[in-house]
Amino acid sequence: MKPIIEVRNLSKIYQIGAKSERYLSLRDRLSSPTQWFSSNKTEPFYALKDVSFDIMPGETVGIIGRNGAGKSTLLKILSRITPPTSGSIKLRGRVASLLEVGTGFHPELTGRENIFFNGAILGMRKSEINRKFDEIIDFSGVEQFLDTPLKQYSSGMQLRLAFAVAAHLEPEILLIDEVLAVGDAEFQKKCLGKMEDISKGQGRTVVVVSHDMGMVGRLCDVAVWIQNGRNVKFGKSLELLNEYVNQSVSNYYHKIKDSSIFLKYLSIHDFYNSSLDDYGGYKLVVKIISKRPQKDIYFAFGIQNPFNQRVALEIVKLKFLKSGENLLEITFSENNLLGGIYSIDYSILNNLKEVIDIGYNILSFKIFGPVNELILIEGADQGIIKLRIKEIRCS
Amino acid sequence: MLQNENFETEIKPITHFSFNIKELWQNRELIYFFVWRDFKVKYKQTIIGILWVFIQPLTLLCVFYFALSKSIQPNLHYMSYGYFVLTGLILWQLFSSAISQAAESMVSNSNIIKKIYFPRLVIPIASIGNSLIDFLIMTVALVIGSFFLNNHLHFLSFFYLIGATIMAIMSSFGFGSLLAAMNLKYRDIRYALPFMIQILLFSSTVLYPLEFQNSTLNLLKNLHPLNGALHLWRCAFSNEPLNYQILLIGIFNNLFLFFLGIYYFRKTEAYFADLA
Repeated sequence: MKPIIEVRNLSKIYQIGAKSERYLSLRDRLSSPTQWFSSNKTEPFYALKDVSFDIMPGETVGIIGRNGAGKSTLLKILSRITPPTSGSIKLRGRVASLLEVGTGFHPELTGRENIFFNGAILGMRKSEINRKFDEIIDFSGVEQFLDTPLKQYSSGMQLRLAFAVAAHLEPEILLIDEVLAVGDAEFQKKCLGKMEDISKGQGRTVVVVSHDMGMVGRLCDVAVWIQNGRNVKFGKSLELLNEYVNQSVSNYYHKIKDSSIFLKYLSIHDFYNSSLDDYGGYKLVVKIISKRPQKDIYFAFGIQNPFNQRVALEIVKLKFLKSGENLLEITFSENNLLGGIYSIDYSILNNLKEVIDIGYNILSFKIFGPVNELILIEGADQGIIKLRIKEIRCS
Repeated sequence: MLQNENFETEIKPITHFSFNIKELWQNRELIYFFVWRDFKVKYKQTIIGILWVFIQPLTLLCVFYFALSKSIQPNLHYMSYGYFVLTGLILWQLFSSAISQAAESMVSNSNIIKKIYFPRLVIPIASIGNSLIDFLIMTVALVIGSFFLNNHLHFLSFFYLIGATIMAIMSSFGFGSLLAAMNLKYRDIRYALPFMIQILLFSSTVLYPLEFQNSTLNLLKNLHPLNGALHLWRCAFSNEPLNYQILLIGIFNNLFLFFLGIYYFRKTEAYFADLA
């Protein structure tokens, strides 16, 4: 089978300097006489350099990397909004890109009219929109406002309508840029469900750019990790995410903070060797560096579920930290989490008010579920935690 | 797994130039939707709605009729001054609104350009389409009116009208897409535009027949992007014989503008998303 997306030695150069002005007017030219004769005083900046990878049909791919690493540039080139400077991409299928929810929505048009225009812009045929119209309205839940101008919609309603249109695209390749970072938890859950259906259920190829580690971990099989415009790694998303997160911990937080105590390492014991089964306990392993001996330090960590809801927050008191590396192991006797990808936030406090070190979404881990098959009744809300039942008596 | 070999596309750096008519044709529905949207939006929250189409040319007609009728009528051999201005203004309306809408179209749709790919020419084409709707409404009214009031319409009128319309569309589309592409880079265009349109109006034969003794000036007059079309257009409504020199210069001129506009637009369109 041929790859559905083939990226070969892709580079994109932006000229930074005078030309990177958003737009030039004659006045700009006239008002800076020094540039009259040397207008090309710009320097090349590689937004992407020599990036290559293949994506196979049906894969869901997460593109991860820090701000400015070139993720969005890559997505813009993939969706043909801007051309590459060198290299090439082969796409074997129709492409739809969602770089924004509700592109082309017009406030004066009614909901119905916007569905048609937005659908057309995203690449749907008129007949296709007609066919899916009822489904789209059902999904959006704004049925009674269909003939109201969009400007009278609440922002939440606009968003729902926009996503409803986008969710009914049927391309072979779907490109998505962090569009899910908006909306309430309920709606996000619905969107994620729909995206899983598109990728896993219908076998379409999905490329997602996201900062949301939980989402990348849950949706994506493989990930592309871009660093400074270079193609760093391509691999299984969970392994890559973990590596990415650990690297973030060691390089990122501690360069900007020059605190006396900081987190060096954090992991959930053996999580990707699947020892985190349903009922077993698990262990959080933390390494904290302290520059000098300290007393009474607090370590706090919070766990978020795939819908970004905090399911737990725990604080442990550390009576004494020696100078150098301190190993902290927190063991849980049983697992109360449902299946899915979770992420961890942490903070280190020297009393209960002053934060010394803090990090968000620094680690994601997968709980293999479902915990109880009985709960998988079609459409039932599973809740957010699993209560461990000790004994059942029926009399 | 879904895969579709029929839709293999390759994304490469832009090395050669093409008009890419095929891709435009594939996106014809999108052109329709852009025209449809702009038409829907145009008269929302207005009381008289579509009647606005008629108000502007009729008001201008009254103004110019009272101001210039006496002095210009003696120079007109084939039609009354009122008729001369009315026919001229209707074609002018197509030309000027097409240019100004096309010139602004890329900037006003920049949020879409930055987020979605489609052949960019769709946008200026759609703004021409929109001006064309108003124009067709007025033209139908004009033809019906002429038929009943002073029937100078003749066998060839129909072809003259279509020819003149195509010429006006070509020149305004070429000019409009040239300005649209330039407008993304140099926003000066936005300020120069109203002024340019005025100059184009007063240097044309919309309001008065320009007759010069000097042959250079006459040639210059014929080079005006609308004058060729105007000549053909008025021949449809009167017995005025065709002047082939004016017509041919007009056709070449309009073809040149048409291709120049598309060429410049296509040449720069790859970087629109970075500039918008």
